[in-house]
Amino acid sequence: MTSTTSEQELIARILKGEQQHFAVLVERYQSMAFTIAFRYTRNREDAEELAQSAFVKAYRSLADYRGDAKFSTWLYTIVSSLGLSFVRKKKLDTLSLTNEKVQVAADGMGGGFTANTIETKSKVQMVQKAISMLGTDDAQVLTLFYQGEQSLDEIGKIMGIDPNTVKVKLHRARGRLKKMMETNFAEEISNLQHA
Amino acid sequence: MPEYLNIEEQIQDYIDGFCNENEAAEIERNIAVNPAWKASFASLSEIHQVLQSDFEPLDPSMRFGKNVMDQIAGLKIAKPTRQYLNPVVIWLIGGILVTMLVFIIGYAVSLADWSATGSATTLKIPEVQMPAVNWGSYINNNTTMLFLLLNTVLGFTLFDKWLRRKKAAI
Repeated sequence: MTSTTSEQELIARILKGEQQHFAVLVERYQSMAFTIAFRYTRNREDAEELAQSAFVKAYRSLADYRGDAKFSTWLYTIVSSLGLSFVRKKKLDTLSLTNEKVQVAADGMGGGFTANTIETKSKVQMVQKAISMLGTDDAQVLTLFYQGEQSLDEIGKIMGIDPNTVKVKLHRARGRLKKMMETNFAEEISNLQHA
Repeated sequence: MPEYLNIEEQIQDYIDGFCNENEAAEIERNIAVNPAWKASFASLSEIHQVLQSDFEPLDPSMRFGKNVMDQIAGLKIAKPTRQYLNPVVIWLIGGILVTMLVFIIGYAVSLADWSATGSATTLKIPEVQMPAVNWGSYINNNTTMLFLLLNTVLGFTLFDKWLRRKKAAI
């Protein structure tokens, strides 16, 4: 079941009481929901809890899903909304991270090494780390555009901003990511290029 | 291509596929002939390619899906919000508010002094002889009671209508 129609059928069946089909939606969107949640929480435990809460909330409110937007857009809106509440609750800094905080963010990525001894094993990990060092909005917009397969309009809906603002944010986020990678991962980039 | 976009933004739009055919052709031409455009394109397409090929979502723990299914096991899907936002109630509240608004505006207008003031040079507004009605005299206990009565009747009427519709639906 990959098309939008089959997703609608799946939702219709869940609404009829066939709860087990919700597992298909969870399986399909868990990585993205978790990634979006991680952009807010910056640690895996809270991100996992937040993403789970989002799925539970989505299940409870499934009758409110009208089908005029993609299910993923609707779900990611719930995750983002919970993420914002989490940030407000924890009073985390949602603006761009300072260099000091960058170290903490990189440490929180897990994987058994600290920011000071980052040994980037692959470009994928390096990109992931660089993105985690960006501010929440930058990381979010890049995640939704490149990973979530969301259009500017859909990202606007999820983040509660105008699509033109999304476009500007996307442009700036890419610029900041490039700068971040050149500043913090110059050695790794050089190694990868020589490999 | 809009004039207000700088080179980078135009190239970024081109890379993201937000340009139409004419705009894309113009940008391609610029990239081919202009070194500044070429350098900017190389820089922007590099980060775009990295994000496209080397940016993967994070994976939650293996138990994630099971945890979610365990949590929803005892839950029921809630009724859609539109079912408990009854339009009749909204109309009822709206009706009362509009009536109150009309009443307040009417009362405020009745208290206004419509005589012209100021120096002789000010623009003269043609005088219209309004009928000599003292609206203020109509605002008394009786009219207030009548107003409240009308609102109550309106409220009951709409409530009755809603109950009848609900009964018919059952």
